[in-house]
Amino acid sequence: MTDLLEVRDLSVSFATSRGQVPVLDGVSLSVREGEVVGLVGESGSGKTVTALSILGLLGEQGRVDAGEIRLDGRDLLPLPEREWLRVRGRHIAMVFQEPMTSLNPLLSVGFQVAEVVEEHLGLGRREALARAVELFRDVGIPDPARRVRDYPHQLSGGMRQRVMIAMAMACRPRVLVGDEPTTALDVTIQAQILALMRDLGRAAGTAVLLISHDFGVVAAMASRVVVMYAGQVVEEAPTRELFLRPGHPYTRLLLAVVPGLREKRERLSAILGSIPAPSALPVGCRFHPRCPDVIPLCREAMPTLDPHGPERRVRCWRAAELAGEVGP
Amino acid sequence: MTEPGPAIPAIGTLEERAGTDIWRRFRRSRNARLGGGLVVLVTVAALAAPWLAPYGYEDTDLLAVWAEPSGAHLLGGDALGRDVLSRLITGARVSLLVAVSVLALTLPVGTLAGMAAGYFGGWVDSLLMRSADIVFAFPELILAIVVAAMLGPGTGTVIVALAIVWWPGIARLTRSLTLALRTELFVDAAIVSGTRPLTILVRHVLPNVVPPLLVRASIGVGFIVMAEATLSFLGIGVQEPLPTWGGMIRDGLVALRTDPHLALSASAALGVTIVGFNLLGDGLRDLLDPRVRDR
Amino acid sequence: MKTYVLRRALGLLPVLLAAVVLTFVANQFVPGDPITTLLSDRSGDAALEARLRAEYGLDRPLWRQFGTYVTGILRGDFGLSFRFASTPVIEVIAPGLLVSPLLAGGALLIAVPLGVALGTFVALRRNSLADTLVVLGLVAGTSVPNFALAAFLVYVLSIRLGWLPVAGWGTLSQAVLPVLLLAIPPIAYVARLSRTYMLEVLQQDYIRTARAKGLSRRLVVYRHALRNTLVPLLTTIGIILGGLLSGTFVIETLFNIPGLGRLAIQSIFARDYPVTMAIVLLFTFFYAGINLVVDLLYGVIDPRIRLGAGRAGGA
Repeated sequence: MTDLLEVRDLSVSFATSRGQVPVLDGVSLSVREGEVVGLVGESGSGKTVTALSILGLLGEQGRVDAGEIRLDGRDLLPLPEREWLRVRGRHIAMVFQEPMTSLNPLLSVGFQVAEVVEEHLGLGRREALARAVELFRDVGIPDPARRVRDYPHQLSGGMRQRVMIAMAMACRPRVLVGDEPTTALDVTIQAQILALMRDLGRAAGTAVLLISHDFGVVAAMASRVVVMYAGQVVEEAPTRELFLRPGHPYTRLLLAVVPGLREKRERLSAILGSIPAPSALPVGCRFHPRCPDVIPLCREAMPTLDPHGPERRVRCWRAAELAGEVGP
Repeated sequence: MTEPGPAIPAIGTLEERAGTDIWRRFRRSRNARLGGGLVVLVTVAALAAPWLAPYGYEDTDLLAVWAEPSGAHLLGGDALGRDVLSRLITGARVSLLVAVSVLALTLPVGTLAGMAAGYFGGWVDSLLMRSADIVFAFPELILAIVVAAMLGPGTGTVIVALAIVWWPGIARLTRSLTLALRTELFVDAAIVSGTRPLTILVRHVLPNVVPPLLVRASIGVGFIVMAEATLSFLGIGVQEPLPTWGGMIRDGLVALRTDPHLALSASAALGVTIVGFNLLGDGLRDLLDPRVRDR
Repeated sequence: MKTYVLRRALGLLPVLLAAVVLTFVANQFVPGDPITTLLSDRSGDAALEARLRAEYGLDRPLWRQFGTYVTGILRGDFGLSFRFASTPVIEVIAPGLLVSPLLAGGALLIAVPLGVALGTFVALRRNSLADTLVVLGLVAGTSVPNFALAAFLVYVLSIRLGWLPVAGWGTLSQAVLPVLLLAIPPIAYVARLSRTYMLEVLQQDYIRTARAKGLSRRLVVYRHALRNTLVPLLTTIGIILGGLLSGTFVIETLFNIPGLGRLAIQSIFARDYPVTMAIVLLFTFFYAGINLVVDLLYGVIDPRIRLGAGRAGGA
C-alpha cells in the first residue's frame, strides 16, 4: 500500500514581533490508505501547525520554509489558493476540537453539511440536503431528517462532533485530519466518536491522522504513532511497539504519566519543565534540559532521526543503548 | 486580503503576530497623539483667547463687512464687520466653557448616582435606571431641544439641557463598573467590617472607575461641543453677541456663495475640535485597555 | 417567544407615559401667557380673551387639562396651535408628516447597505492604506456635525461645481444633498461597527471550519461572516434612527425643507408650544416603536433566541 499522505521535511516559521520564528523543523510523516496514524505531543509541540499545514490553512503569518506535502504523490505546497480550494474539504478534510464554536450558530447543521457537497460535487440544494440526511444517518445521529434542520445550539457536544465528522466525510476525502476531536467531549462519548471515525475511515479507505495529547486515545485507535516535541518528530513506531518499548526518553516520560498504562514502571511525578519557546530553543537536543538520561553529547549536537528497526525511528543519541534497559 | 480564520494557536510563548503588533501600537499612540495634539491646540486657543485674538469679538467695523481674508483680517470679516478669526478663537473658549460646565455638573452627580445604584441596589438602583431610561427614550438631541424651548435660548440653557442629556450615560457606566467590583469589595468590606460605605466607594471603587470615565469624558466633550453647536446653529443655543461656531456657520451659510470664509472656517474649527476629542478618547481607550482589539 | 414580546412591549409604557407627562408639564412651564400672545394688540378685548381661553381649554383645572390632553393624544388630537389661532395642531403638522419620514427613511435606506459594504471592504483589507484612510474618514464622519459638512459639500457641489441645487424641496436633485448629508453620520457609524464586528467574526472558529471545507473566500465572507456581523448590527438601528430624527431638525432648517423638523424649530421661535410638543411626542413615540420592532426582529432572526435551548438529547 502506498502512502496516501506524505509529509516530507516540512519546516514552517511564523512572523512575530521578534522576527521569523521557526515552529516546525523537518517534520516527516506518512499515512497509508485506511490507516490511522496518531500524532502525539504536548501543547506547543507543533502538532496543530502540522495539521493546519496539511490543509493549507496557515494564515498570513505562517510561512512554509521547506518541505513537501504529497497527496497521492502530488505535492500540494506549490499550489495556488484556488487549487487548494478544490482540495480542502474534498480530498483532505479536518475535524476540529471545539464543536460548539466550530459551527456557525446562525445556519442549520444540515445546511452546513450540505454546502460541502454543493460546493465540491456540484449538487443542487435539495439533493445536497438529502445527502446531508444520509450522512447524518451514517454518523449515527438519530432522526436525521428532523435533525438536519436544527441549529448547533440545539445539539449536544457529541452530536455536534458527529455533525463535524459528517461534514468532513461528506465528499469521501482521501485524508482526514482530526485535531483533538474528542478532547472537549465527555469521556463516555469519546470512545463512540473515535470508533466512528475509525470505522468510517476504514470503510472509505481514508487515511486518518489523529492528533492528540492523550495517549489513551491514540492507543485505542492508531496503528502507528508519531511523537512530536518542540517542532520536531522525536519518535515514530507502531503503536504496540511504542507502548511496550518506547525508544525516546520523552516518550517514556509521557507514557509514565498516563494512568494505568504502564504496570511495571515506577510512578514518575509530573515531568519537570515545559516545552521550550520556539524563539528560545536550546543548543543540541531540544529535550536535553528535561531529559533524565542526558549525556554531554546531547547538549552539543542535535540528534538525527535514525531508524531503529523496520518501522521505527528515534531521535536520540542513546536510543540503541537505552533500548537494552527497557524491557517488556 | 485578510485571511479569515482564527489566529494560529500559541506555540510556547509565541505572542502577537509581528505586523499587527507594531502597527497596532503605532496606531494606538497615533490616535492619542493626533487627538491629543488637536485638543491641546484648541484648549490653548480657548484659554489664551483674550490675548490671542487680534480684535474683540464684538468689535464691529463697517468697512470690514464681508471682508475678504487679508492681512488685517486673516479670515475676513462677517456680516457686521467683526473679525472672523477673533470670533473663531473666542468661540473655542465658549465651546470649551460649555463642555467643562456640563462635565462639572454631570461627572460628580452621575458618578455618585451610579456608584450608589451599583453598590446599594434596591430602590436606589431602580430609581436611577428608570430615570435614565426616560432620558434615553428620547431620541438624541430632542430632549435638549425641548428643554431649550422651555427655558428660552441662552448659554445657561444649553448647559442645563446638555447636562440632563449626558448624565445618565455617566451614571450607567459607573453603575456597571461598581457592580463588577462589588463582588470583590464585599470580601474586602467584610474584612474591614465597619468601614462606612462612602469610604469604600471613594477609596476602592473610585480609582477603578476613573480611567473609563476619562475615556467617556473625552468623547463626551466631543459630543457636547457638537450638541452645543447644533443648538446654536438652530438658534436656540448660545446667543449673540457671544460667538459660537454653530451660530457662525448659520450666519455664514447665507453668504456661502459670495463669502464662504465664515462658514468654512467655522466648520473646519468645529470639525477639527470634535475629531480631536474623539480621537483622544479612542486613543485613551486603547492605551488604558490593551486587551481591546484594534478597531 | 411570546413572553419576550409582551415583556418588551410593556416596558415601553412607562417610558411613553413619562414622555406625555413631561411634554404636558413643559407646556405649563413655558414663559408667558399664550392667550396674551395670541391676542397681541387686541389684549383689551375681555370677551375675546374669555372665548379664546375657553376654546383652548385653559380655563379648566390642570388635572382636567391633562386628562383631555391624554385622551386627545390617543385620538390624534394634540390641541390647538398658539401660532395659527384656532387651528388644530394636527392640521399644522400634517404636511410635514409626509416630508420628514421620506427624508429620514431615504437616508436610512442608503446608510445601512453603504455602511456595511464600506465596513466589510476595509475589514478585509486590514492595515492597508485604504483601511487607515477610510477609518480616519469614518472618525470624521461620526464627529463632524451635519451642518459643518454641509457648508463644505454645498460649497463644492452646488456653488463651485453647480451640480446640485442649494435648497428647496420637490425634485429629485433637490433631495440629493439633504438625504446625503443626513446619511453621512449613520454611514460612518455603521461602517465603523461593521468593520469591528467583521474583524471579530473573521477570527471565529466557524470561519476556520468554513475555510477547511474548501469554501471560496466569497462564500466564507458573504454566507458565513456577513450574517454574523449583521445580527448585532441590527440592534443599533435604534440608535441610528435617533440620530436621524435629530438630524432632520438641522437638515430641514438648513435646506428650508417643509418638514416636521423645520416646523418644530419655527414653532419654538414662535412660542407655539403645542406644536413643538406634539412633534416631540411623535418623534419619541416613533423612536420607541422602532426600537421595539428591532428588539422583536432580533428575537426572530437569531435562532438561539427564536428556538430556545431546544432538544439537546443524545450523544
